[in-house]
Parts: sequence; structure tokens; C-alpha cells
Amino acid sequence: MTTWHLDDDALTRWVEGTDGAIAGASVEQHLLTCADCRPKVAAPPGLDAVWARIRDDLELPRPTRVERALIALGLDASDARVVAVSPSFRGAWLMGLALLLAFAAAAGTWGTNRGQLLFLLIAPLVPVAGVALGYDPETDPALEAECATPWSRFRLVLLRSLALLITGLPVVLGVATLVPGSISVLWLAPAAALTVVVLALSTWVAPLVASAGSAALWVLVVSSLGRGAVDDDLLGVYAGCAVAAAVVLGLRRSHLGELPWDPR
Amino acid sequence: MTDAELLARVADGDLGAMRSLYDQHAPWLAVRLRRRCNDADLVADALQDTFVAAWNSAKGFRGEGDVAAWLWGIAVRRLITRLRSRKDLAVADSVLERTTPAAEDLVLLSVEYGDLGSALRRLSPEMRSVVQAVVLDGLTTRECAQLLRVPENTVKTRLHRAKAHLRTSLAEATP
Amino acid sequence: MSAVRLTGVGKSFGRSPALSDISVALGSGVTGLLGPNGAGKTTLLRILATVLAPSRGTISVLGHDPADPVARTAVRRCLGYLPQEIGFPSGFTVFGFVDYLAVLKEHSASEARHAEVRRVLELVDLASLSTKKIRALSGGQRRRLALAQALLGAPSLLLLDEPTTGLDPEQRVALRSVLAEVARTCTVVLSTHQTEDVAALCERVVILDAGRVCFDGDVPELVARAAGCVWLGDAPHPDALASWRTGTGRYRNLGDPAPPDVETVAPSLEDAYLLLRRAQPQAQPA
Repeated sequence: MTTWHLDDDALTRWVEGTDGAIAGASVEQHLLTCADCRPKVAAPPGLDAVWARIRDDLELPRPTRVERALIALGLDASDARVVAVSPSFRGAWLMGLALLLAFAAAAGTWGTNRGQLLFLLIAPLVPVAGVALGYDPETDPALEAECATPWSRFRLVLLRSLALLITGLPVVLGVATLVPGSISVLWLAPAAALTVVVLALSTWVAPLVASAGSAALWVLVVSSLGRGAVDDDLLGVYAGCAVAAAVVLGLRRSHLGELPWDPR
Repeated sequence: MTDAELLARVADGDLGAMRSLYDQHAPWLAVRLRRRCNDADLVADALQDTFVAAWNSAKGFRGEGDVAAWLWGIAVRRLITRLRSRKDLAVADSVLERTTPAAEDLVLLSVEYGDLGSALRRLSPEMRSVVQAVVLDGLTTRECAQLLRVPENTVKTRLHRAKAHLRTSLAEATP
Repeated sequence: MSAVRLTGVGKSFGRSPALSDISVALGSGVTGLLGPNGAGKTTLLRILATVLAPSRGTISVLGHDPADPVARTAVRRCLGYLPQEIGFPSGFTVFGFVDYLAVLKEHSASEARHAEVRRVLELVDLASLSTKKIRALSGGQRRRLALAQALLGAPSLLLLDEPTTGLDPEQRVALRSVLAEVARTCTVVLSTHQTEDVAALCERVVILDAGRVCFDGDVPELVARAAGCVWLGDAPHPDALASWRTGTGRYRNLGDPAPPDVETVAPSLEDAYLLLRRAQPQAQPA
């Protein structure tokens, strides 16, 4: 370890590249071990710009798969962020959804009446649960801070529900094709109705409460009517419910996503 | 704060320590890279890659040797990776050759390397660039081959010959 | 023109009233909201933050009435709110969380937004930890993170619910300088149950007890109320409303007024606060 240090001339020639290869190598070897001479090196231009790129690389959150999918569908990048952050897109939820659907599909393909009824019971509740999980205080820990922001709560809930449908629907439809009979299609009617009803009820009560109530109602309907839950005349009822709920939702949209209840 | 302490903090996720490390090492790294590659944008990219890689592998630094040397090891390899994707660029032998060294450099040289400096000067440019890459920059023969765009066997041959020359020169120099 | 004006505001949850007949007007500078647990401080802040709707009364925040949805959004654009308990979505980094809140605050241009995120992280001294996952942070660091999101966009109204919880003395001092800087141009309302915070940070104080206002005025005004009511002794005085042992071994006594033959000392904010609370027959000390 030498005790001499580089003089300014040697350094300048090294920086400018006007010294010889060997002299340069000498400077470089010295700089590897001498922390006193390193600050003397004149920083070339553009180092701040490179640092900005490094910092962005390390700091900025990477868009999730769901975010990228939403952006590909035409959603604004910042909108995609607020939508995709929803607990409904967490791995745990998606995995639970997959398991549930697998179960329902298995039940449906067994072909028995029971299996088909089980599918009819479960499938419409899946979007209901997902919508509720999108913004309930139990599942969204930062809800209070979020409520104080100007981003439209109504738009947030709707976008999250829509995104959930877009990501979840292909899976559910795929599963539905495994179920024989018209149930594989007819379940969509009560599913749509339940979803809109839950959204409308959420303008009054907590989303999880609204979902639980609607789920209970659906369980009642299926257990008492069985396959008759998707009879032709009832389909009209479901359509009517969906429309009515949509109207209510439109009228009370300023209450959606807000905190009307006592969190404690 | 020493480099090792800074790096320990970087391994812990301290972005401020990362900035300090960058401020201290980016200047000389940038110059050293630039002396090997004329393309300023490529050097900037390689520098960016270097520090991002340093952030990710800071935990793996076991304290062997200087942080500066460790950083250079990362930097030169990142430069090669970037160079490989740009077929139009090459590190020509002539780039490594500059004007004849001034008298002061020779003095520096002899202090830093002793007789090795003058012995190196007597090598041909091809041999010198191989020695520079393998011995001074710490590349493997394979990496050196990639950098200089020559077959690996050529690198090995040149290195072998260069070492033989140097041995002879040093033997002559020793009284 | 007051930034915040409440008239006859009340809030009940079911049958229990959390706030009754609150009428205050707040302007620029720092106002402390003081009171024991359960006094209604959080409820009041929530109402100001437009997160909760009042049951009665009228409110004007920054010239808007939050009952109207359009006006509510306008208020939220100028608002910064630090809830008493804030949760963080799992898997977020420090930077990611503030960035997310920044998007919700309508900072849609990414470059400008990232610069703003870095600015507030710098203010709360979390810039070095921006890449850390939130679950790796200590309680005090999480509190500072929550404060950072409240500071986004340089709001005109800053509402802080117990901002000093979990902060060590050094961090409290740092918080004071941040707030002092911010309060020059905006209205800050912070709630606390510690009088030292009010003494150090606030020019005005509103004291709540069981949902009602029992004092609303400047801090010196409150302190002056206890003038001539505080004295030191070697033992707790029998006539004192309250007395406690100080670090020097002597006893600090509080009485309204002090007995004639004792030497009174200058009152502190804490003395005045305690005197106010002890003097209220219905007030139950926490």
C-alpha cells in the first residue's frame, strides 16, 4: 500500500484520456484502494441523470399483472393503480376463488342433481364476495385515509367491481362450460342481479354486511326452489331486481364507498 | 463512514447510504468505463446496471477486499453485457493506446508497479490489452475474449506470451 | 374568514351522543384539540375530514359545505388527514404507499407525483427507507409514514389525530419543526391528550370533554386562568384540588384559588388544563 497520492495533473490526464494506457492503469489501481483520491475525480456530466434512473429503478412500485392487464384494456395508468390495489386482487383471494370454482366445477361435472345445485348456489356468490372485498374496512386497512381523498369513491368501487368481473369472469365462464345443462348459462342472471343489489345496499350498510345478507337470501332461494331458482319467470324477476337496484345505486351513488357506519 | 459500513446499510435497504456510495464511486467508475468504451450512453446504462446490481447483491458482499474493487468487478461485467448486445461497437486495441507517457507518469509507474511498469510498456498492444483486461481489470479469459472480440484461445496465447515476456523483462531488471 | 366553522354540530351513534353542540371557528395556525379519551376528538376530526357526516348542525370547511357531494370533493382536494389508526395494505413499500395515496389525491402525472412523494418523505425523514416494506418498519416510522401521506399536495387544512403517538422525544421535535413550517400557510388541527404537545405546537386550543367544548381560545388565555392557583410545598396541601410530586421532591399543588399564605408559581398549560378538568363536577378524570 503506497503512501503517495495522485497529483491533479495525473488525474486530469486520466479523466481526459490523454495519458498512456499504463499510466492510466496505475491511476486506476490506486483509485481502487485509496478513498482519499477518489473524491478528487471530476464527475463527468450526466451522473445525476443516471442516479435518477437508478433511484426510479429501486423505488418505484412495479405494476402488478392485474395493473398491466387493465392498462392493456385502455385504463389510465394511475386509475389502474387504484383499482388493482384492491384486496380482491390479492393472491389469497384469487387462490380462494380458484379453489372454490374448482370445487363447484367438480360438483357440477359429477352430473348429479346435487352437484348442479351446488354450482348454482356457489357461482353467483363469487362476484358478490369479490365486490364486497373491494372496499370494506375489514379488508381495506387504509380505508379511512382513502375516504378523505378526492378520488371519486363511487368510481373506485365501480371500477374495482368491473375489473374483478373482467379478471374473474373468464375463469368462472370456463368452469361453467364443464357443468352440463342450461345451468351453465342461467346462473348469470341471478349473479348479475345479486351483484347490483349488493352495490345498491352498500350505499346504506357495510359492503360485507350487504354481501352476507344477499348471500343468505340466495341460499334461501336455492334451497327452497332448487333448480327452480332459474326458471324462466324468475329470470324476469332477477332482471327487474337488477334494474331497480341499478336505479337506486345511481340515485345514492354519493353514498357508495363512504363510511356511513361507526367503524368502532 | 467507511465503504464497508455504507454497503452494510445498503444491504439493509438504506437508500440514503446508496446515494452516498454512488456519489463516492460513480465518478471514477464512469471515467474508467468511458476509457474502455467510447459510447457515453452505453457507459451510462452500464453504470445504472452496476449500481442496481450492487443494491441487489449488497448482502452477498463478505468483506473480501475493497468495496471499490467489488464495484469495478460488477461494472466491467455489466459493460461487457451491454457491449455484447451492440454488435456495431468493439473495444479496439487502438483505444487502449494513447500518447506516449510523460516523464512524471513513469515515475508514478515505477512507484506503483516498480519494474513491472516499464516491462509492460515493452509489450505489444495486443498483449498489453490482454494483460490489462485479465490482470488489471480482473476479467476471466472468457470475458476478455468477449470484450476484445477474439477467440478465447487467442486470449490465452497472448496472455501466456505476455507473462513470458514480463518474466524475462523482470529477470533482466533485477540486479 | 375562518377556514373551519362549526355551528351547533352534534353526532350520535345510535343513542349515545359523541358530540353535542360544537360551535367553533378555526383559522390559520395550529389549533390543539385536547381532551381525555372518549371526549370526541376523533369524531370531530373525522367530521372535519369529511369521512363522517354530522347528525346535526352546519359545517363550513374552506368555504364549502361537505354535505353537498360536489363541495365535499372540493374540500378533499385541499385536505390532509392523519387518522388515529391507519392500516397499510400488505406488501406495500414506503414509497408505494405514499404514491398510491398521491394517485387518490389526483396527482395523475407520474413524474410530478414521484417528486411530490419524495418531498413529503423527505419532510418526515423517511426518504432513506423508501424502498422498505412497511411491515419492516417500527411503530414510530409507520406513524411518520402516515403523516407523510397527509402532507401530500400541501393541503390548506391539515387534520392530525394523535400525531405524536409512538414518537420519541427527538422525533417530536422534528415533527414540531415540520408543523411549524407547514402551519405558516395552512390551518392545522391536531388532537392529543398530552398537554406538552399543545404547549409546544399550538397557538390555540379547544378542550373537549364528553362531547362538549369546555374551552376555546388562545393558549396564553388558558394558562392565565391558572394564574395564582399553583404553588409548591413540601407535602400535598389539604386544600388543593390536585397535587403531585415533582422531580425535585417537592409537591405541586393546584387550587382555585390558592390559599393566602403560600407562594404561588407561574402556571403551566398542564396546570391550567387540570384545573379546568377538576373544576368541572361532571368531568371524570381519565
